[in-house]
Amino acid sequence: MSVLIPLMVAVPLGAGFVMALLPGSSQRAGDLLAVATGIFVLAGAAALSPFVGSYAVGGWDPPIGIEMSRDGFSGLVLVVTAIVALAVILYATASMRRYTSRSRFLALVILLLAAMNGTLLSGDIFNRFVFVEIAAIASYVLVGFACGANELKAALKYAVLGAVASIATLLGIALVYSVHGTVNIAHLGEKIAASGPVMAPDSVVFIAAVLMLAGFTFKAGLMPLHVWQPDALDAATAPASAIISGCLVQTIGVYAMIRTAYAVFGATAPIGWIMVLVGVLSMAGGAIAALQQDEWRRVVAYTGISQLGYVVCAFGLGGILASAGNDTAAALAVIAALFHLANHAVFQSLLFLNGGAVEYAGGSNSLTKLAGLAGVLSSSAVPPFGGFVSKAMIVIAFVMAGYYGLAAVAVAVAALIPLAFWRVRSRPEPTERTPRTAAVPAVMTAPLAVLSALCLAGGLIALPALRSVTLEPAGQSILRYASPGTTTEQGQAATLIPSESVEQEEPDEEPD
Amino acid sequence: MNNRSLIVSRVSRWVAPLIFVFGIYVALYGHLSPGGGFPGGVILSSAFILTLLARGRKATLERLPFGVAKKLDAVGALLFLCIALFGLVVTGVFFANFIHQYLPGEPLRLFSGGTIMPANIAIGLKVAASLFLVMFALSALRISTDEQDEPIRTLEDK
Repeated sequence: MSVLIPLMVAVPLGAGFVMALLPGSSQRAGDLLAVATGIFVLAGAAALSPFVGSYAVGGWDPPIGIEMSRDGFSGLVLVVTAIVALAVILYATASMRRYTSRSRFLALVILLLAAMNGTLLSGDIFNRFVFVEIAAIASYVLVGFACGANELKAALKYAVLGAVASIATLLGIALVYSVHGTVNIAHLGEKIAASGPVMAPDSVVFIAAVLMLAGFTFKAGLMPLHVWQPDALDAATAPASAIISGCLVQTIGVYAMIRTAYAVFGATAPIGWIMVLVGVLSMAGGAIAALQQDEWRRVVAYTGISQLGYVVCAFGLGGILASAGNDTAAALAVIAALFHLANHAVFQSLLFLNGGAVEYAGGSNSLTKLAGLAGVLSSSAVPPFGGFVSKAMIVIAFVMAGYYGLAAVAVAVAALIPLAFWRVRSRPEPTERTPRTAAVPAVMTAPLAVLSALCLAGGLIALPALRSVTLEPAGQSILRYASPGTTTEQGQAATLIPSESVEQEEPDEEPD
Repeated sequence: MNNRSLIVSRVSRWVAPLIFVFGIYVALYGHLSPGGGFPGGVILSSAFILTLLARGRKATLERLPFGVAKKLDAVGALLFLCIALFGLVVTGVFFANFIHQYLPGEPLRLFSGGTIMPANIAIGLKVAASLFLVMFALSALRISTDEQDEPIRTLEDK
């Protein structure tokens, strides 16, 4: 079972390079290979779901060798990423026919998928950084893929600013390594917890934490460092925007940020407050900026920033509450954040793919209208949809924790998002992009239908039976590392939520 | 390029093969001395980049055609992945050093270290080809700042 962990990275990576070798005439083979890889990754992510543990690459044991690990959190994001990526790949096999080389586009998407899986499964911060960079570089090319002036401008902006963000992250890793001499996340987390909670603003480790959080804030496109995101998502082709907004910002941005904040730095109160600050800024700023946009895609991009603001704010609050010893409220905040993260992936990718389908056809039909409606309603938190349930959970978590101001901001912002969509209600049809009209092929509509159904059914994950296999193990695997600020002299990542199941399921890695 | 110096062009003919051989050395001896696949690959590609700068695109493409470089790029990456997967097939562990277990070799000799040398060769190929492609793409898109020069150089060198 554990051998699937490296294969989740190796198979898409290999498929991506095989597709690069294919001659230009065999686009069909490229389609098949890409779809097969997408199905493999989804099946692998599902098959891995009962597995919690790590894999020692090359047979070298963790503190020295390279470790890959899967737990509830990475497993949840892995499945969500695989679903969205498969939908995007299927969609792109049809929609990218209008471009000269769709197998190259698909090869890039597959490489992006490999790098995202690597980011999720990597067990040390340096390898995670490398995978984040692979994903980022693939996404720079995806943004500029159509090679028009707008695309290239957005891609250049993204690439240049992204390089600065990467340097910040790398500097943070170098500082942590210089102090503690290890890059293995579990090992490093123990060492940092043993040296006392990360508090003092003048300690090297705190500076490293801020640098790394800043880097990941950029990759997540959150508010003070969001400038690349609306331009990139506006300029890129629809499937590229969908995978960037639906998978990439979540894995190499939010996932990497949360993993670093919790597992490495123990999510102490100062780090939690930084995340809450970034979260509130993105939540409010994203929605206010969305109100000023006149273009459909830019509205979707800015509301996406606002949605991820909720997620990061709730995660930050979880760390603050955990370090104050308020376990139940911390668990609720983290679970609500995870839930909204999953819903965000589904409705953002649906909104971009649907906008692309409308552009492709040169006008909307009944199916794209319905799919667009499902995405908008989920994004604006209208009751039966998944986006409502998760956003309500975040607000409840804020109230339960006693942060009424945050709850008020969250509710007010939630009311702004539907307004932003209402302002551009007739505009997902910029006919000047593709003036001709065409029927939307079934390969493009099937992913839309599936994602719309997931938007509607997303709320069901909150039911206890489903929650206990998806969100709760993920929440436990995050909060396992949160240190209660005052009592962490024992030198171990304290266990807040009783998580025997997580602890005991780690099997011995014996290669057969 | 019309303002190409004869001396630079002549000297580069002699120097480029030496750089090339040095690149192979750095990649092959990566497990024994400072260096490895990545620096070796960079040095290998710098031999072609020197030719490109000193003698232009046409002379470079005679030595390393564009299509071959593109294929080498993907083949190098796949070769590296194959080494990792062979480890999985032979010993059951991804990236395991499967050669070393059967052919340990003599320490501090070229044939030691098992899969590390083949991995360095694969990385060297990949890095050399992709850096060359990056440089070539930049040269193809170069906009001349010289007023008398033609405004945008096309892919085919005159």
